[in-house]
Amino acid sequence: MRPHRWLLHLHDQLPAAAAGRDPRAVHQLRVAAARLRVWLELAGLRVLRDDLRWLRDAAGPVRDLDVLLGRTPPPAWNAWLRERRSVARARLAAALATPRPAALVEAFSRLEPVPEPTARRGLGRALKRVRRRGRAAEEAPSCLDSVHRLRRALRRLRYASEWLGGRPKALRRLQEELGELNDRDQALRLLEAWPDRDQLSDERERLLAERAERHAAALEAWRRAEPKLEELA
Amino acid sequence: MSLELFVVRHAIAEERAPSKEDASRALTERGRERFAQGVRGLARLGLSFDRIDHSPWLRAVQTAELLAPRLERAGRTRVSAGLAAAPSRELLDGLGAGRVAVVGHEPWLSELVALLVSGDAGHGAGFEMKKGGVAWLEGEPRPGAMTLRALLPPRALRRLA
Repeated sequence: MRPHRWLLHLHDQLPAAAAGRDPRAVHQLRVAAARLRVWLELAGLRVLRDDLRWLRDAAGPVRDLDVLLGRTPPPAWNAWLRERRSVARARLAAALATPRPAALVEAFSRLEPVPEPTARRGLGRALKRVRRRGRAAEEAPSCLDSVHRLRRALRRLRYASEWLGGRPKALRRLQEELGELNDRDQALRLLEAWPDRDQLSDERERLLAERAERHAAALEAWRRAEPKLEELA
Repeated sequence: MSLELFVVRHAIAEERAPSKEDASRALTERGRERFAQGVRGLARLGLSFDRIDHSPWLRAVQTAELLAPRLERAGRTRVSAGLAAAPSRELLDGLGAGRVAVVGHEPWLSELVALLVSGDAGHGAGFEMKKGGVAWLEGEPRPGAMTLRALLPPRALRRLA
């Protein structure tokens, strides 16, 4: 039986992500792991989730730094970020050199197919979760974490729809809109972690203003999309 | 570094067939039901796990899935290629501390028990791990440094349920 395309996607990203020079490979590794997580949810499986989280957690810091460095931060901060990325890349390479990723791919390659009715019930659960998290984000409009949880739920809904053959472009755009908020949030966290951050108080103010803008835009995009959610999925 | 280790042989699986790779053999319906009963027996003994390691072979993945309700709230599962091979130094070094279940295959599980209890994997023939059975060990995850606390055959676990 030919491996599922989502599993092939993960398998194909591993060497380039381990080599550490291609930011797209690290990003695609995380995308592949997120999709496979949805596979497990649709199948109702508990096993293998922690292995996928381990993979995403190893790649996450590299990805966040790649995104920020792609926006050409101020020179003084840039050097510190590059150093931090080298460390993160080395940790990711070490993780990918263990037997665990290959064992994960093997385990997935042997799983039995998910029956369509089971997957559709999973899609239904994913939709309910998005609605719940959307309500929570609207009820606490100043809470960033609520929007991040909504974004993650939207991502899982989108992948569940894709599993069933859907092409939810509008969901993807909505997810990306919320992703812009996440990028600003990550940038601020990295700035707060820099020992010399006081040098860049203007940059901090700029990022805070952008984050506030993106937060408002994310909530507005959600409010527009919410009534049409079922057709989007 | 104290470890309580539960060595679990996978539940009853499909017979070998030329058309199917050994590693892709699934549990039978009977295997699932019987093991699920055995898991209820483990619950009656008050046993839960910080972590479940399992081989990547399908019957071990499925057995670990049936065991997963016995995970502690913050418990984790972990796929381990070392559980689809003879016991190695790397496998022992990765066991850690706490209450850990490992799900794998014969003859390697018997070899693992023998290695941990007597220091010699070659004594594995002296242990019989039935499908769905559990060996409960305690001590440090080094050759000869663990004590066999109990050998729980699947029938006994089902009777406890």
